[in-house]
Amino acid sequence: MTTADPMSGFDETIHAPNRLRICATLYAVDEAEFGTVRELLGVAPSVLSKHVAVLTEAGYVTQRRATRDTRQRVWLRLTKEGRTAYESHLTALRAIVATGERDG
Amino acid sequence: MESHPEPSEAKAMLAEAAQAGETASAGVRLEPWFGPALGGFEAVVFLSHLLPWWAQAVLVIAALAAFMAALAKQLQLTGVRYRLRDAKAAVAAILIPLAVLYLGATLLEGLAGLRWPWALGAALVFTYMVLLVRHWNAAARPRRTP
Repeated sequence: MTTADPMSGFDETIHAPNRLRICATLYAVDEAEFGTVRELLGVAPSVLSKHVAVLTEAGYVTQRRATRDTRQRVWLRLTKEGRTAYESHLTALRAIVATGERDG
Repeated sequence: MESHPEPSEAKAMLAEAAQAGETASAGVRLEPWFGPALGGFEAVVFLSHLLPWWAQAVLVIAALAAFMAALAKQLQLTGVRYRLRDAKAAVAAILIPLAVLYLGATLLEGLAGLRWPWALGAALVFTYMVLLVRHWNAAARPRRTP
């Protein structure tokens, strides 16, 4: 029987600090408004837009527009692929930490 | 070629991810009126036991519907839709004590003909709702400005 290499789940797309935090935020909830994610991360809208575009391009995040109080708001959601990729990435990070502890 | 981070960096990133997840799922502070208003509303339902059974049933359903609508409105303002398991936990924290008190008062009235458990239930429901919302707010992050 072969065991999958946990490091194979390491995902360069998710690894960037802001994108990791976006994924962590969206993973914890069902859906979050763009403005809320921006506030939670403490970044400028343009920065969040850029990272969301990368995650959307990778198929990890979907965007939905909804009107509330006559204003258009964008809601972000982690896709099924995004959830799987994020979980695999965390597994890879844990494996790296475990390697360090074993060697150190 | 893919370059993996150092173990110390990976550890820091895991901690950051955990922190971000906790902050997102912590919920936001509800309006100050939310606990007392809903506690009062539920207390009215308890005190309505003198009405015929069908009127009570209608009032209870209406009270629960109003409560869920108020809760949904509060949550809509948060900018976050919570995962089903979190919503289930919140609903259980509200409905289970209510159901227990309601059942207890019903049994005491049915078996011993006592009416005062309804008043006691109303007081307990009110206090519980106020404390529950206060407890949620203590662990929550500030509400975002619209």
